[in-house]
Amino acid sequence: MPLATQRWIEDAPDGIVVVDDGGLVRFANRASGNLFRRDNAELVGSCFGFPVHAGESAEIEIPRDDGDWGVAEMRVSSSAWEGGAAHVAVLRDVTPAKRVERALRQDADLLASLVKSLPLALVALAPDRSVRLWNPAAERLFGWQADEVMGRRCPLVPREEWPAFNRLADEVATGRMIDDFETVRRNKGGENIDVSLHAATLWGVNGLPEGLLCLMTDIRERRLAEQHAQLSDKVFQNTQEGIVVTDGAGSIVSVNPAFTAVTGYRPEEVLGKNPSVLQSGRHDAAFYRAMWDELHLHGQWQGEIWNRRRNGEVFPEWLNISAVRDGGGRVVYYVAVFSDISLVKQNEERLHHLAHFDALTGLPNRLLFADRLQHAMIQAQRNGSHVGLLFIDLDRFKLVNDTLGHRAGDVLLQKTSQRLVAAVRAQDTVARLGGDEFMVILPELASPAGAANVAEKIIEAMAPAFRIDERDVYVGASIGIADYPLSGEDADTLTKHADIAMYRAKEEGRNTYQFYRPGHEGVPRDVFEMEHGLRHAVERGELRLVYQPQVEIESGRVVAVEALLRWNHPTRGEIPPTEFIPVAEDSGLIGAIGEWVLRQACVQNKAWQDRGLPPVRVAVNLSVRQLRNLRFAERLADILAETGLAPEWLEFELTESMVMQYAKETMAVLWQIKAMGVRLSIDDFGTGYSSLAYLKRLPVDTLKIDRSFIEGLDVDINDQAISNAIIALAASLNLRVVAEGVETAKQLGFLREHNCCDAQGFFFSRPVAADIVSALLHRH
Amino acid sequence: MRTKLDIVRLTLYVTDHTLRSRQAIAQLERICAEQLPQRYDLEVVDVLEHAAEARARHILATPTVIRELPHPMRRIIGDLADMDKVLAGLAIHPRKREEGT
Repeated sequence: MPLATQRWIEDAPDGIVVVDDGGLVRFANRASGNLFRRDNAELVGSCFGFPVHAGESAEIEIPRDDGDWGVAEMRVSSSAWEGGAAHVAVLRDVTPAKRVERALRQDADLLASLVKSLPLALVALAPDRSVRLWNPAAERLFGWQADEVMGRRCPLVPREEWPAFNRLADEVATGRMIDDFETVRRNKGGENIDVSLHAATLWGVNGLPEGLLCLMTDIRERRLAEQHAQLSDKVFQNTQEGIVVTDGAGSIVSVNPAFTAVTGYRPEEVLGKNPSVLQSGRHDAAFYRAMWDELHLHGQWQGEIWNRRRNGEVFPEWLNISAVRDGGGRVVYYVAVFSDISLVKQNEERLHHLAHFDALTGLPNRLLFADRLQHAMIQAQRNGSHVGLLFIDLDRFKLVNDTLGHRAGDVLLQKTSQRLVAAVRAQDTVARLGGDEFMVILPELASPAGAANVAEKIIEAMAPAFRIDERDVYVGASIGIADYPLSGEDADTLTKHADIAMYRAKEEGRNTYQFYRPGHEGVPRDVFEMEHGLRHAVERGELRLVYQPQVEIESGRVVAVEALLRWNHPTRGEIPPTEFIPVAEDSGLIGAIGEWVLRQACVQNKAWQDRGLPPVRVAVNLSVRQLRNLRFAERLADILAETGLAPEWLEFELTESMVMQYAKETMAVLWQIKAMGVRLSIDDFGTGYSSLAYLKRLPVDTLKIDRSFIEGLDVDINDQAISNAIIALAASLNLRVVAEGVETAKQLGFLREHNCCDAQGFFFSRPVAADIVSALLHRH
Repeated sequence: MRTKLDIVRLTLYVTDHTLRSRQAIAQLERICAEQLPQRYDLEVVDVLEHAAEARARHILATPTVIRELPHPMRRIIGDLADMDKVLAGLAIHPRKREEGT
């Protein structure tokens, strides 16, 4: 080979390698040494391999020590070398070009994978609005597969959105980007979908606009959440209940307008502070500790709490605190909702006072009297002492009342009570039971004789004239004395016996006292015989229901009827419920009888409704025994289903004493009943020891003012005050009020004037048979 | 009955999992499966991952195929797309026609 040729080969920019048939390198030029990063001498004799190629050339990779590799293009031609067959491989280093190619492909791959896995719907449109790009998220959101829409006119924009879309496209064409534009797009199913749209010009490689790029996200959930948040905010802003939200550490983050209205604090005065700024100081540390314990344990606390307004005034509130936890169970917020119950509280206190004290004289009334007597008896039993019970009746009170008038009578009663209180010891109780009847409880007497001393003192104290309306009025007192434990061992017996003794004192010639002595008891009824008869009363058809209408005072319309049970005994005739109901309760028969009454009342009411009469509620009295039956709600549901009466036309009446006494155990059943849609009414309201806290939590719809208060409405200011207070209380608790036992127009007038809602009583109708009720309803 | 001698053992050296490497592996596997059914043993070695081995065996570039068995060793380098050239380079003469009887 000429030297020049050799030099040219040696200096060629491409690597030139000659290999023999066995793949051994026989010659390598400098460029190939550079390519393989080896000395030429080292290359010669090493095994390159027999070069094969498919087309004109083959690409081979040359690994480098740094983990990277180069790429060479290999062209092979056959030749000969030192007498044997050989192959010349010309190797051109194409590494830089390959690098660029590789990078480009990686970019393209990344871009493709980005478009594919982008969670947002990505749609690119050509200037003619045909689809150029449609990613899988767009397939998922709108329902069309890419191959259904590619190259076609974009189907997403609903007709009514065209003008807006055209404006948007025009704007984008000027180079502006559109950010979070909330609009509507249509999916394949024809539904409108709320979306947030981001749009930009799609620029071509030549720098000219090539269409429109749209990114869309489904904001239906966000919309819902926003609507929900708006609603929540509306409730938050407008509710009458104060709301305080604190963070997990107890700093106030939000309060509503009702909070400000109740407490007087403006939001900026309390935000960031602890709700303890409202503490009244009325509760001790243990109270708050118990509250927090409950909150930590159950995430909720509710109860009555005293707080302080900005003006220093302390007020009671009904407070409900709930902890709001995050996904990890950590408390992030506490939400406290409270209502100012000072008005309810005032009513409660007023009612409590009215319920326990006589408004005219300020003396304890019958209720408080019973309480004190009970207390005195328990005490006496414990230390072996006696209790004296004095029943005092003024001798000429009626005369004073009739001749000098009610007002003079009232003054006389007031002055009498002052003298009575002055005549007894500090630990004694003087009570007024009504009219001119007074009671005195003398606790802790060593012997019955002590009571006689007090009785004498009272008679003495009553002797001097009372100065009334510039006249001297003389009244005496007749006193009956009963002794605990000698004359009786319970309050009722003692009171009854003191009463009997008082009549004997009157018979003895007035202005004197008498001890009770046995001898005038009534004959006990044959309870056993009654129970026996009652067992068969249902099957013999001796029981029947009568109905007494409840009338809306304003309109005179009958709105309800109370179902009342009657027993026509085959030999004894009509037996009043007051006699046989206790027997039924004691014997357990009340369960079966109660169910008969309930079913009968439902059947009857349905019958009236089926006859097209104006619908009314039927009220049924419930006994404790029925209510304590765990399956009562179930039975009730059965009866309603069987009779077909809609639950809203049924109402249960429960006596106040019964509800309060068994409040804890019956609460659940009452709520079950209420949940079924049946209404609940509290009977004889005003006679029991109502806890208003309980009352608020009971699912009650109606209060029935006890007939004893209505009876006295014409004359007794106590009864007026109590009735009035009950009506006010019911109004503040949003309950319906029914006055029981209305007998006169005057009573009705009072009730109407004081906004009592409904009334029931002889004035309207006696309890009557079902067909008479039909006639009554028919008249409307 | 086939003896150990019948086995063709090949080692294919590739660089990383580039497109070309993947093609080379697929091509060689196809050739083996078609031409040497049941009687080949193919190992694939990534020279970047096993640099020391590659150096020891003087692998200058990839794809390189070494016929380890039967002896003597042969090696080829380049494009494995052309089956006949690959077989010729590796001096493997398929006995397909003989075995077809």
